[in-house]
Amino acid sequence: MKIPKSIWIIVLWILILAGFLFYQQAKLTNGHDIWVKPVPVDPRDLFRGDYVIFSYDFSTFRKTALNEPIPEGFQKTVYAILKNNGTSYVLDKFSFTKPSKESVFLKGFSLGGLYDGVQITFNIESFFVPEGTGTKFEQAIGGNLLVKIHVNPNGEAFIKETNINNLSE
Amino acid sequence: MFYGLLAILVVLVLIFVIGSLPTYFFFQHRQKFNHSAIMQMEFQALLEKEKIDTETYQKLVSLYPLPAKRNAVTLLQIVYIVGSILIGIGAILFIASNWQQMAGWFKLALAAVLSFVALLLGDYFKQKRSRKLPVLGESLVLLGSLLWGVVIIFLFQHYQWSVSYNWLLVGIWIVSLLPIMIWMKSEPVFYLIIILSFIFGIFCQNLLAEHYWIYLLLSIALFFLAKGNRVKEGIIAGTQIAFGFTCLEHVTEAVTFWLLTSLFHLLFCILRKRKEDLIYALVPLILAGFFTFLYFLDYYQEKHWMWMQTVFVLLALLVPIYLVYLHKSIAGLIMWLTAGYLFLWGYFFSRGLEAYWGGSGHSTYFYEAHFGYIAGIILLVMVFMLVFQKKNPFYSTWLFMTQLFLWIPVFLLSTKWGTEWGGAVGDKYLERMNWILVLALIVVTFIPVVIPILSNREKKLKWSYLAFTWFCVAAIFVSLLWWRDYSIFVINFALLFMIIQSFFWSYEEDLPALFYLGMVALLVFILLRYFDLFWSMMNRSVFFIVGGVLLVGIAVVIERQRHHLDRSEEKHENS
Repeated sequence: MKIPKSIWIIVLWILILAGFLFYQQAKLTNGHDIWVKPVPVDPRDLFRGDYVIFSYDFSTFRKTALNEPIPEGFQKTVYAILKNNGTSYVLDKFSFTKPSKESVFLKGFSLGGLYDGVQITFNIESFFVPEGTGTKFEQAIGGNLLVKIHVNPNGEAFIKETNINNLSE
Repeated sequence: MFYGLLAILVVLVLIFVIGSLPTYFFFQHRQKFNHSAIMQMEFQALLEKEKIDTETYQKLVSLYPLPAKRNAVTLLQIVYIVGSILIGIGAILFIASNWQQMAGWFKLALAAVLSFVALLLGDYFKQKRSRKLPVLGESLVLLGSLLWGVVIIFLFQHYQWSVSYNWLLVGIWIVSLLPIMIWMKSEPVFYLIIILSFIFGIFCQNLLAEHYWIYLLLSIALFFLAKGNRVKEGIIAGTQIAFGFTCLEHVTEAVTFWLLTSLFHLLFCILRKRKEDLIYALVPLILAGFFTFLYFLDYYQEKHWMWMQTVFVLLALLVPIYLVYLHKSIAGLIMWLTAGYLFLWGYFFSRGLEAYWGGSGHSTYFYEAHFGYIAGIILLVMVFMLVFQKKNPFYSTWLFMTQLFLWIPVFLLSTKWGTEWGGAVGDKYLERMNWILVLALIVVTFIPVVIPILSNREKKLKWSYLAFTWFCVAAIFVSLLWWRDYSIFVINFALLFMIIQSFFWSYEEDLPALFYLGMVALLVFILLRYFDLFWSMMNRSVFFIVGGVLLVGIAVVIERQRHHLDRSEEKHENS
């Protein structure tokens, strides 16, 4: 019996779906969770709806937080090494070389190159929220809002949750 | 709850009655619209009168082959595709609402299963063994593709991927759809890929900091996927040129983009030896030249929006001149006048809002730019219409244009926004609209009277239709002057009657173009009223999904009706 083309396409789609879920699961199984402090803004995405933009104390590249010379040539990857201040993790220093596994660090990018004051992307800048609840985050500015991120040994991270509900209770 | 359900039921019945009337009318009498069928009937009559012999008859008949109901399918496709798109938008809005009461895995499973089922059913209905509903099959494939996009969107939302990765989201979606386009030869999915490709370009721009060449690469890739189909290539080229405008924040980038686009099309023209396609090289070249000129004059920064609007209209005037050259016909003059009409229309609208050109506030940009784009889209549609209907007669084109002129202001008045807009600006708006309506009425009255005389047309104008149009517009004026509270109803009924009248007019005058315009107008009318009635009553995702399901349901009824008529016609012919 000849298998319809639509079945093959569905098989391809299931493979894409499984691949995505597998990749996401692999990111989860290694590494650990940490809490960091964000500054939220509340816009809306064309496809995925309301989200909050988070900016962190390590989102802006500063030469003053660098204990090493900037390597020659075009640089777009940088590591933010974090330290625990009791309630959350904050920036300790930036580094161009991958830190040891003992330290907590995030891998960041700036496609336009790295210079003083440039914004670095860590893939933890957006948090998608139920429609109309973004203002809660804006109101939490300057408060005790924290974001739990999962970091794997390569420094790749994604947001797991926030403590916004505990704050409102 | 009861009244809500009752309202939905009433609207459903109304849509069914309104939608079925013209469609049934058209299918019952479609041979009237078929030029080849008319010619074949004439030859048959000549044969019966023994004016020609059987051999000559067969030779003549072979010159006019029947087009096999292609147009009827296209009409249905519009209803189906709009329905599918509405369901898709509804599903995307549902995911975007990030509703926490439903578990994530359930949302994912629901979207995935629905997309698989839609694709499978679509493939089934497209198969030869089930030719009863082939157009439904095509729309279900499109729906499956949209719902698959919903699955990807959900994954990116659920796992909190940053918005800077939207390019990856759209990229995965495009790659997943390519097999449907190539293997299943789905045209709607091809157009979906065109749109997604340009959205992909926008997201890549954000990622790579204004690298506009991505659009060029994308459109070249799409050109090869179009495999020489003229309509597809035209749509891609139009979109490609329009996207050059998004680069205007950086004029040098825009000019470079247009120059490269022009070079690409020029090479294509030479390779294919098709001088008609030279227009795709000409338009970006003129745009590049004009903006370079403005840039050097250092005038660009202050008034570029004003110039953009003007350039758009000037270009619209060049297109008809080119068409005159190509077809040696009057079509160019019609295009020129259309462009002039739209230009003046935009001008009056801007003045009505006290939004003058040059040096005015930020809101002016919005209105002017959008009117420019609307004018451009309408003109592009007309270019296609004229290019693909080279034998379009003088009279029918004029009649088509006059109806279009009249309906645009009535459509705008028919919205709540049109008549309930208060204050001085609202009054000014109404005043301008009334003047446009008067202008349109003059055009509607005189053109169909004058043109038959100029073109020595044997068949004269049906005065009853003209009188009915006058009656409808007069009713609108009277309601605006003395029954302001009820004017919204009068305007809507007048518009509906004029649209339905166009079906009879097109039948009597043998004008398929006018019939198609009426169908599109009816569809827009139904959608607008649906928005008016239910936008505030329902959740947005439910609003779109219900609307889409209604349209697809109506289309299924119409397609089945068409199938029965086809069968009965075949039986009649066989007997």
